[in-house]
Amino acid sequence: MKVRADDLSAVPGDPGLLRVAERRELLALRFRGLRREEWIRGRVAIRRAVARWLPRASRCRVHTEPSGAPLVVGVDCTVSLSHDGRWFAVALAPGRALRVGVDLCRRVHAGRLAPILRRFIKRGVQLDPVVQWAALECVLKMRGLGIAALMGSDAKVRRAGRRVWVEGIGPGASLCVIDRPEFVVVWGSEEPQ
Amino acid sequence: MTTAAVVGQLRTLIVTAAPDPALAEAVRRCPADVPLDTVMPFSSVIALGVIVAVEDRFDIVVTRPAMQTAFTGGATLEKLAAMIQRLQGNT
Repeated sequence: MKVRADDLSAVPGDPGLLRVAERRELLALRFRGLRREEWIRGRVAIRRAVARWLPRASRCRVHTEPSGAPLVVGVDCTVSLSHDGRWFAVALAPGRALRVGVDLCRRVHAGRLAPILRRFIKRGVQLDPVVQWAALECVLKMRGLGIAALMGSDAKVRRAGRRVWVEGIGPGASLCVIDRPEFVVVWGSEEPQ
Repeated sequence: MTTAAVVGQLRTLIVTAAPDPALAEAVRRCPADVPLDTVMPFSSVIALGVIVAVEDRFDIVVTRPAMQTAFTGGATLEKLAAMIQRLQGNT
């Protein structure tokens, strides 16, 4: 599994770079302004990741599932995308055997995350709230769950070095984490249950 | 409190809950029936931050079914206002 985190401005936001089907999706989604631009950059970032990490792969496009999750069409791989402010992270695993998840969370959220964790997670704040949040979000994405799944959950999150473990949202998950001055990225993969 | 008044308060709460208020400014003017995710980055952090703020401001407890109803198909100001009014027992 490969992961890249970068500045979103490193990826062009030109709608002309979208595939025809992606352009149709964009029209249907009716995104406006910066949200629209962010979506375009996300699609281009995923296709670039496919081209970089699977160089022999054929031309692909990115389909948006009803949940908002990206699905690569035309190349056998599984992806996950996260963006927050001017940062994004994309994770890719070759083949379709694994579910992948990635979450990038800016440190600027630390102050608002503590009350959110206290309100929605029975165990409240268990470690750096930004790392805890990114780990929880990563598991939700990996399993295609919405944020309502967190409400009242008994999720337990612990960290040792570059690993984070999440228990209490289905089977336990072992994830990777990196810290940067502006953000945290957590990612992982697992076989479908 | 009327639906319009609740929607007005929600606009302010959302802009306040957003980490980048400039990116959320569009919420002050958007139609009430438009998914918030189409006008601003309405991430999970912001969404749950809004729920915490709503509970505090309107003195309600947002339940999981109420939240699922409000967020299915994309949260809008209208759906959030309806959720608040239902939980207040006004509808």
